[in-house]
Amino acid sequence: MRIVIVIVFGLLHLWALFQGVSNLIALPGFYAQSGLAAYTPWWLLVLGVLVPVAALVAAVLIGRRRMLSHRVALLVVSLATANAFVLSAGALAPILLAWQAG
Amino acid sequence: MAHIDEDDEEAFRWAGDEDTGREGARLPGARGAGAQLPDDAPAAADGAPPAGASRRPGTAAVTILFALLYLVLTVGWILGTGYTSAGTTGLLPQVLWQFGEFTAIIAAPMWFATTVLLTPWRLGVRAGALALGLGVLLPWPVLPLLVVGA
Repeated sequence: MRIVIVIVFGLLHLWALFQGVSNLIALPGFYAQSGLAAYTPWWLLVLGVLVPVAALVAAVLIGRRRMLSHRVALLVVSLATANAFVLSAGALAPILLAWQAG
Repeated sequence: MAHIDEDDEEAFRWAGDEDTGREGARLPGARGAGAQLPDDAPAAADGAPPAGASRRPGTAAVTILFALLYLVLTVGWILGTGYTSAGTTGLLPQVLWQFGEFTAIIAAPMWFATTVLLTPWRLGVRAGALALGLGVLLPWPVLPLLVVGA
């Protein structure tokens, strides 16, 4: 039962991970085509990939030896945090570009 | 009579209490200096929190302060998700994007509630986890709205 829950939440995390990987692949090319390659927010793109994975791993590790409801709560927090970071990264990129490019 | 009194007091003690600093009587509102625990100390050898630990004034004040900040975060996410879009008309991406926005809105209250639930007797850990959540869950999508409003 517990492993099934982790697998289900792992699959739900894939959407955030997919967007992070997608941004990491596509955004540098878009910036380069626009002549803004120097302003590519690499740290943000890398975090977009790392955060969903790190959040899921942290939730699983913190949830060890805890009751099932606490594990599920941690996994919901992990999923919500990963998706919130996706939206934050999408909003931060143009803000950083406007700030750096003046 | 003295012998009887000692027997009565014995009901409020537990073997090993002196070692964990909890030799005081475990009565609500009767927490003496001997019953105080350091903020980050493990509650007991069996892992159970001492009764009333989460009701300490410091813990309550910190929790209420963070509750207000997390309320602001939640309002920020509710407003901020109104300014994001999936950027596609595909049904599946739209559904997943809406689901992502919903989870982003509940992220702050869920982080707060889970932290409070899992750290009933650890003020330091609770404050650290709540501070981390404040940093991670800043609602950046609402920033353009704030700039326009300013």
